[in-house]
Amino acid sequence: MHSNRFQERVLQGIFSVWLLSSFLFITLGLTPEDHFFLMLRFEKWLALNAVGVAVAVSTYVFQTLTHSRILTPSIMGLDAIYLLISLVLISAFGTVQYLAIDAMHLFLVNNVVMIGFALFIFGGLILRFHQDMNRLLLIGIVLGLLVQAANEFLGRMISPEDFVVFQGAAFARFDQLDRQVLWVALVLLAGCLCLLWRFHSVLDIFRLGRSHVINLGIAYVPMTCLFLMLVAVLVSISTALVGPILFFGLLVVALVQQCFPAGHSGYHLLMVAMVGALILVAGQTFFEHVLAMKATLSVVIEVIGGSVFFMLLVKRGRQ
Amino acid sequence: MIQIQNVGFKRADKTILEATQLSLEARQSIALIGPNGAGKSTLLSLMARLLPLQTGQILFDHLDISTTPSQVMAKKVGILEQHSHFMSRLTVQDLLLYARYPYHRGRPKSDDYDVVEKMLAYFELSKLRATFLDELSGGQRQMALVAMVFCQGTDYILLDEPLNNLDMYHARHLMTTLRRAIVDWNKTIVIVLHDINYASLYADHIVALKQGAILFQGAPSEVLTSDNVQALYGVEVDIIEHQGKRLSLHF
Repeated sequence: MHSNRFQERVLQGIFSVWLLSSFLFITLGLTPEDHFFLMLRFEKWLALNAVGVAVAVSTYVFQTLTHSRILTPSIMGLDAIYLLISLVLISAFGTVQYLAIDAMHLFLVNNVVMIGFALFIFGGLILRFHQDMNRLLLIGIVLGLLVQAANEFLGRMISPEDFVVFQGAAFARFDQLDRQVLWVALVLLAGCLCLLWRFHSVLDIFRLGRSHVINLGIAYVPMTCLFLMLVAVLVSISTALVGPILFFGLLVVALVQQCFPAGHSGYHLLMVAMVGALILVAGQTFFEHVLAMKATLSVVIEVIGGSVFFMLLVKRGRQ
Repeated sequence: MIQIQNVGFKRADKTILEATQLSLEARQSIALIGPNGAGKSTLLSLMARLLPLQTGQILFDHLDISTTPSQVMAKKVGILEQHSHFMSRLTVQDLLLYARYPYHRGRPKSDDYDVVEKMLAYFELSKLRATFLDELSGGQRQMALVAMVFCQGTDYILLDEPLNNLDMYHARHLMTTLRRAIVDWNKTIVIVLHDINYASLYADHIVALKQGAILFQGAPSEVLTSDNVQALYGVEVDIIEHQGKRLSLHF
């Protein structure tokens, strides 16, 4: 049992560690004169935080909507859909025209398509199978595999040159962030977080289950759609910035829920956002500056997150 | 007053509830009885807006559930379903405070705390206020869930098989508390019961459903005859009178 004061302390503690690792991440090995590199690092730091927060928060909201601790947007293939959009564009218009599209336009188009997908596919599934969690879980995992398979299939159909371009879009690339996209993403992220914060008490009721939502006079379908749209935008943000991360959201949310099962949604949202940002910033600092290994963080996260996913499936498969 | 007019329900061409007419007076306890699959829970879910109305209308004191804003209905009718699975780990007090959502919309005020306090006392849960639901016994948990519906402050309360898995003490305690609440606060309670003896002892009005249609309805002393019960459940029973109440021996 944790008292509110204890919960606040933990949040403060995590915040301090996050501040410390942020400072280290930006400044380690640099002097105040290295303006250019400091700025580069600062942008990378912004992106890391945005991704950590977006993935963790979207996973938390999505799990609340599906009433499941196992499903996440990425397991259901939402970020793979983002890549599918790029692939379809490349195979339809060819690389030259694809590359000619302004990165920010591409990002916004992707956002709109993602919202559509989230509403029609996930909205439809949630509203239809809300009584049958096992089926929703199964459909979700198969859907995720299907979208990935479609990606692979289309990837083989296009020419090797096109595929290289696609890979550029598909995989983490902190080093060549598009500045415009980063700032637009940050603005969108801030908007999504504000809206979510405004409705966090509705999330509390959603965690009681669908019948309580309706019984307590909340418009179930419109609210579900709103939350799904926010999830879609958040996933677009993280995918546009670093590409798909399969198990990171699951890892963060499972960690927070394991430690603070009794928290309210408001606290949970703050907590998963902080932990998400902290893991990425501290992890990246550690791997980049201490171990001097660049690309290993995502691998480590996926391995740990994958194991957590497996454990949750074994332990809580029935929920 | 609850008016159910021409309400039917089909699922994949299978009729679960035939077009039903039912008019129920307020300020009493109404027991829905009938064999499994008779459509009792479906009717209750339709009344609580958990299932969409396919035909007909349902009105609570002239408020039509399909045209009245959900926020208004939430202050008029509350339901407790058979199964609740919460994602959050909640204390009894948290749970009761959530039920005040139609009034505080996320920001509990002092009168919301007052109502919660009153209900904790009424349902003898004051000592358990800070206990987590998963630490309660089945009977205590059920009392907490019923207290939650009462916290919602609705005139009409729908309970789907609240006596499931309760021992003799808790079942009786719950039913006497419900009876008391009808007198104390003019509540109207519609309750799905499997044990017709509880219906006989605690209900003012019985509605018996079989295969999606009303088989009979009326005061327990009139409708609980051995013929009726046999027609309803297909079980031969003896009905005896005990202190002016009818009891069925069906063992």
